[in-house]
Amino acid sequence: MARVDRSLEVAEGETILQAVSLSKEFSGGGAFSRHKADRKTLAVDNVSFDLRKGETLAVVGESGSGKSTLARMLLNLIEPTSGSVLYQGRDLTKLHARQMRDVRRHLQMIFQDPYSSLHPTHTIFEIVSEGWRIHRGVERPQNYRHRVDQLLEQVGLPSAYARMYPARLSGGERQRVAIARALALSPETLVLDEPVSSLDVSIQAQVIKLLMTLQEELGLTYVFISHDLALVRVVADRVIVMSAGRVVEFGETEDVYTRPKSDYTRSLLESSPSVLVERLSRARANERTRLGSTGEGPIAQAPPRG
Amino acid sequence: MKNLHDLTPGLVVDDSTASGLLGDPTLGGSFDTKSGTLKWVRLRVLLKMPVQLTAALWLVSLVVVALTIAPLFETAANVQNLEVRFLAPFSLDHGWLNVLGADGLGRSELGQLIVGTRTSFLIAGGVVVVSATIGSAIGMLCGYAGGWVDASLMRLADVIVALPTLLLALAVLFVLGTSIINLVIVLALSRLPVYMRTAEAQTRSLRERTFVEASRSLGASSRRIIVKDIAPLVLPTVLTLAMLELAGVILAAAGLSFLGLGLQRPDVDWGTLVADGRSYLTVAWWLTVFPGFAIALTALAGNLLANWVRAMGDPNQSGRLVAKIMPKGNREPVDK
Amino acid sequence: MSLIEEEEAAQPDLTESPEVLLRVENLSVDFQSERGHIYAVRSLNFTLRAGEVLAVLGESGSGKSVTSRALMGLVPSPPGRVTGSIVFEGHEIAGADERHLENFRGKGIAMVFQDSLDSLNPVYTVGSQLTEILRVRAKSSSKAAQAEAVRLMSEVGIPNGAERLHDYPHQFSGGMRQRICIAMGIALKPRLLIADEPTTALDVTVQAGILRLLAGLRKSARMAMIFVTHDISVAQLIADRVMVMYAGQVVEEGPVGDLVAASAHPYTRALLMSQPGLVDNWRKLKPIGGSPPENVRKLHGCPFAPRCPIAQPECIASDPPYVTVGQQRSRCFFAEDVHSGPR
Repeated sequence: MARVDRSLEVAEGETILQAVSLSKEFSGGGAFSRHKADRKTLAVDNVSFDLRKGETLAVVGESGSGKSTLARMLLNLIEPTSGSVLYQGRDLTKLHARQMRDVRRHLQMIFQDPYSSLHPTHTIFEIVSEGWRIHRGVERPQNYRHRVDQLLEQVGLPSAYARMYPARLSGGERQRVAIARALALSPETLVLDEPVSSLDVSIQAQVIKLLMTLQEELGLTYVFISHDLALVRVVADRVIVMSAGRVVEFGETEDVYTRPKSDYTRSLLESSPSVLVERLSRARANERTRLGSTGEGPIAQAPPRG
Repeated sequence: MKNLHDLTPGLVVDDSTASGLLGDPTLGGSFDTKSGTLKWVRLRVLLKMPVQLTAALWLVSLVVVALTIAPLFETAANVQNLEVRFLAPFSLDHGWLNVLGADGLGRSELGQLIVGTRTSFLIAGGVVVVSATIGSAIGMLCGYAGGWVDASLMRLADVIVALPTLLLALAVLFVLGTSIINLVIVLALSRLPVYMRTAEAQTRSLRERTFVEASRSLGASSRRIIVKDIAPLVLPTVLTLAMLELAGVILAAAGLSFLGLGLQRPDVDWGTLVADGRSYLTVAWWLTVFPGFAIALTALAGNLLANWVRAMGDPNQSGRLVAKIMPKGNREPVDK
Repeated sequence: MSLIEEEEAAQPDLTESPEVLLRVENLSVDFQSERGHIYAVRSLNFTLRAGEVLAVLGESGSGKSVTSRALMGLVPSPPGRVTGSIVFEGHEIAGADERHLENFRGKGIAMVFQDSLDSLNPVYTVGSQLTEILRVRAKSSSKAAQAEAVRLMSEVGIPNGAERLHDYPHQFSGGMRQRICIAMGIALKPRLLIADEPTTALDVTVQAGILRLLAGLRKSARMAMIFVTHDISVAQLIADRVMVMYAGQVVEEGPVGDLVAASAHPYTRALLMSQPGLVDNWRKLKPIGGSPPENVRKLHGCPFAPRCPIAQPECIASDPPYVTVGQQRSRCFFAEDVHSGPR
């Protein structure tokens, strides 16, 4: 396994990252726009939370909730309009480029779309080893080949893939490559922006299992952005619910799912198809015992057939 | 029978499905490196496309001629031999040098053509290389940087476009004097905006792609991103443009020379040849037709090759092209 | 109002056994491309009765979208080739020419697509697109078309319909746009509505609203639906029957409740068992190894065999037969064992 720079060792369970009053304002319309509609939009509005080492913190919300913008602010890919991100005590928003680059070794990201997060004319080998070329000194060039093979194995891909171009790989395989790339620098924290939303249902479970297994093996901390409530429930320790840029709920997963405090969370949970199905199936089961009908779609029940 | 619940955890990719995808290099459009690197396969594809191959060979042979044997013909091109004034082509009576005829001063047409090739290509090559590299570099920087840098440099490009090439040429050549170098400078300047705009527009859209974001999250500097992520994707477009431009520049240089703004004797390119032959069109057609033909053929070759370059550069299209041309060559059997 | 309350409010009148609206026999769609021959859909057989909702469930490469296009005659004929029989209300429409198909499109069968922004013309107002259908196909007068358009807007749940007819598609949210597409779909009162992943691109709360709308329309308009989706929960919510597709073939088909409670095909089972909604811990997720095939070329054997946990040599060597187990039809040699296996 890779050597990890544990100079700033944080104990399990302690705060490793802190978001303090993060806000992001986008001004639409460009420099010369005079339209009233091109006012500033507040994508993220005063968001604060802490991230504990080793945990999986989920950020759920619908489109426009600001969760993706928030994710990028944590890594300083988008500069916050106000607020700060404290990573292991250092304020990322105040670092200059060189310092930020060093921090990036510890904080990596997995992006949503595996079809565009890998450069089309770079081989898998080049993609996975890119981090070492940017951060010279982490890995010796002689070792690149061997390490890439190791990483590919870790994510469940044959080493023969190293010579290929991303176009040859399926969505699930590409996402694995993205994971290998992120792990190459032995980070401590991963921000995962809808890592499986673009994948087929049967592949999603594969990749989720891989991610969670890796988390255990490598002691990683995850920030898991998703709109899929059912998925979040089984992977997250704590959940943040966002709506229109604000945090509307923040707590332990089970608490949020069984005793939601905010109306928005409640309506979100109630609209999720799997929850709906569960509720309606129970109701239908009751109906069935009452009427004795066979299984039909719960929305439009036909009277029993002869 | 295996237990129904004993589903594989999915951490290792099943070999059979992997090869199902692997066996066909056209899926997704790229091909594996078993058959050699990307560049060699593309070359082999070119070898099987007769039209494009001819175009490529024509251009390559012109370059070879320009670089190697052209200097040898300089004497032939300039020696005046009044015995063979206006000699008609296609006869070997006065030696093979005059097989394409001779001009009003008895200079070998073939010789002038060959020397002209060198000049034309030097100019065209020079212009294309200079304008393409500088133009696309500026364009990429603009596109990536955005903001006022982008805006101001693009306005500069607009200014250049607004100026008629001829006027520009007139001004510059009047001030600096006519010579090959100056001609190259003028033409390169006038062609700059095309590359700038193309590169800038493409960079602007590429900048938003996720793999750029991924590079940034790895800690890549802007310079690294432009060179490693953006440039390889802008390159095919620029290359295609350059091929098309090649033809255009030869024509433009010829035009300028034709108008007397370009080269003066003893420097001769295809354009000056056409210009010189213009007055004698009715009595000595070969003086105009042969150089004109050369210009047209080269322009055509450039255009034909440009399409191929573009198709090869696009990862989606190149795979299909390979499959069409080489149905059995690269692939492992699909059904395993 | 929850879905249950809605259904209490209006039970459909299906006391008499509804007639067969659509009968599909041996439908196959293949494509000839420079990549070779691709068999997108193979020997599809199913029937649909009036007022019934059939969900076509599948992942990428399953052929579900191609099927929906084939039913509308939207498969481009070279390079595609549609064979087999599609009988709608007694008329054969497979391979019919454009003129013939026009009698059915919109009036008999209508379609709603996944990308509502792409489905609407951005340079025309929503109202003009809606009224165009009514004026051209239903021969309504401008005034009548206008009135009907307003009525349709309210039927699909868009407030201030009359004013919003003057707006352009980009001025609506995704969910609203999809409602407009549905309005355009039902404008001519079709007997069958084909919806190809209409809610996939939408937020969860918006999706629930669209599903309610469709369920309501099915009752009020006595409309049958074919609902293409990859989400089994959505299928459970909206459908009476489910047809599970894999690599261009139907692998299982049956009433949705039975199919989910006791599926008779390893793929359906595996799909259910890899849903996060059904486990309480990620460790209990059981993913299927490998990936769904993208472009199907092979013709023999069960397409799921490479990934199937109970595959046997005969699964690769020969085509499994369709076996009727309980209320379902399954294409597996071991359908009965799968059906009676532990849940």
